[in-house]
Amino acid sequence: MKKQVFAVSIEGMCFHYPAGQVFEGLCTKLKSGCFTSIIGPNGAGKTTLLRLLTMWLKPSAGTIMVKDRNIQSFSQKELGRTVAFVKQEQSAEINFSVFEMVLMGRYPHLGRFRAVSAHDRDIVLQALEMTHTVYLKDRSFNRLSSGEAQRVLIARALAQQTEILLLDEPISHLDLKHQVQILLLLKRMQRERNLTIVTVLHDLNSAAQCSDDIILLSKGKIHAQGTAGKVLSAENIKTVYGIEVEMAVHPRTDLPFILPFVFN
Amino acid sequence: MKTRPLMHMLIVSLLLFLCLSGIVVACSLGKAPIAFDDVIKVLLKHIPGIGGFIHPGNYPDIAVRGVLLIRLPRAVLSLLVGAGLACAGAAFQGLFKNPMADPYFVGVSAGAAFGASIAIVLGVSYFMGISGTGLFAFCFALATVFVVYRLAWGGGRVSTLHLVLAGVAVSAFLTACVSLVMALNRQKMAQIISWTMGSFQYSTWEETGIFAVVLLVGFSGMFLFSRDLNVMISGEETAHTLGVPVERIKLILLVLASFVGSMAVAVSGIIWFVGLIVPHAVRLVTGPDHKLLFPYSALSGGLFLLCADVVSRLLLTGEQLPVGIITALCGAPFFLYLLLKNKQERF
Repeated sequence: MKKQVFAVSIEGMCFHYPAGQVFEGLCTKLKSGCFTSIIGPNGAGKTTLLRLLTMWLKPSAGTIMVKDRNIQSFSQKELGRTVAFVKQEQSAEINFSVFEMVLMGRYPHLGRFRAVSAHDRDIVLQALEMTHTVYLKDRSFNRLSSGEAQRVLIARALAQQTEILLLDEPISHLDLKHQVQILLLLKRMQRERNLTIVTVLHDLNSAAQCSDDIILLSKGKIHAQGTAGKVLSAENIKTVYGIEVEMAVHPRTDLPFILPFVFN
Repeated sequence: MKTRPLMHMLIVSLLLFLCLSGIVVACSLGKAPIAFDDVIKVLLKHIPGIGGFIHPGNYPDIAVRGVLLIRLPRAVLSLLVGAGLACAGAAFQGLFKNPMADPYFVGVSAGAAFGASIAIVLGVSYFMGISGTGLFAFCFALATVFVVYRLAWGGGRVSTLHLVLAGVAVSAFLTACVSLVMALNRQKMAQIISWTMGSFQYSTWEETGIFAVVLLVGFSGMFLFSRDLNVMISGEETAHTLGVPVERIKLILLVLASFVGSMAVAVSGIIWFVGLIVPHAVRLVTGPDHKLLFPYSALSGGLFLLCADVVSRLLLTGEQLPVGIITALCGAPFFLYLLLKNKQERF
């Protein structure tokens, strides 16, 4: 068989909350080893889509294939070894040390009666090194700044050694420096570990700069999907977000750059 | 993880030693004191294997009966109940991520009190070594937990918030029922109230044996799931994506903790504060790792309730205080002390 091209393929997926329909017959494919951004206005279903990929929510119809296997056929631990998820925010009241937090990423690899081995500790250390958080290792998690906490949570996802990494707005509440740091880290992880990264982003310009593939969601439907040049047009943004923007080109990357403006 | 296995082994052995010495002291003290060496001789004599090496007959006969039939089962039971309550409390606090949770959180105490008051009013006496009151209390407590769990169930999940709210509502309802039962049977009121305050006054070996089995199963189960519980502290959705079967773990721990809690209530009445304070205090020392929290809570809870029970026997001459009063009187100030001392530390 040909090497798998799509990490995730969704076909005819329907999902509704008790309050109302979110997806009706959604179809899309996410390429292996690619950086896919999901963008769209609030309430478009971005987080819901990620939650369906973690099986935290279950579709009412349609199929989700992960690595050419129906997601329903994964056991909980198998899924934990295949798909990692970094939530939007982590409740702060966690007294565990950073090392212990990242060690939790080894959970899906451990049997009930198997203790944490030196191998697991090595993997945790590697994850800490990659995210530049080794110096935080003995610090209590609830004492970290948001930027540090975000990197630690990414380290934990790395320790899961999955092929797919999902992130929900990983940079929304960070300052510019930390935003860039996290995005650089994600790009490096994609490159060095051949990870498939799927992330919800609110900042369209960040999405434009780092994505191989962008999904523009609007009210539970994919309005456009493809490269930044294709998806991020003034017209698409006008239709989906309902605002006028000026388009420019980033002088260093030649990628589209969106300039919103405020009328007076 | 700063694993210092040697240090933990030392502390656990020390606590174990304190528990054993506590039992000897508890057997010795009382209205008719028995000398320590007599207690130790009687105890050793009845341990199979080494009993043969102890010279018989050089301790008073009264010591044998006093120790073996009255004080020892009571001491052992209070130790085990303390351990059980503290473990169940630790499990509930971890499960609900709420430091105010205790083994009675989901309606165990109210259900048990209602069951007990019905048994007292109906005059159900003994049943297979357990008092009828205990049996009714146990069954009603478990039934209450089941009802609360069903009420909180929805959309394939049990929300811990709904569990807490349903627990509060059902507890309030059942507490009102207990008051109603008391109002309609004023001559039994004193008996019901004294049962709810908790006591080991009528402990028997049968009760101790049954509780020991329940505790062993409950503790091993909880300890086995401590890693899962640790991961669940980060939130249920996160735990789910890390591979934890959240709903299954929640149900298992809830069943184990409620079972231990209900059994504790059945054999000793409602003893407040042990299940709340002990795990909380232990957590301030050990941190949030349940692998340490469970054994430490069990040993300290047992030791605490054993001491409290001895005090409750000795404090007043002629009358025994309900042990629940002692645990609250000592526990609450100690808890406040720890809280103020560790103000910046949180759960």
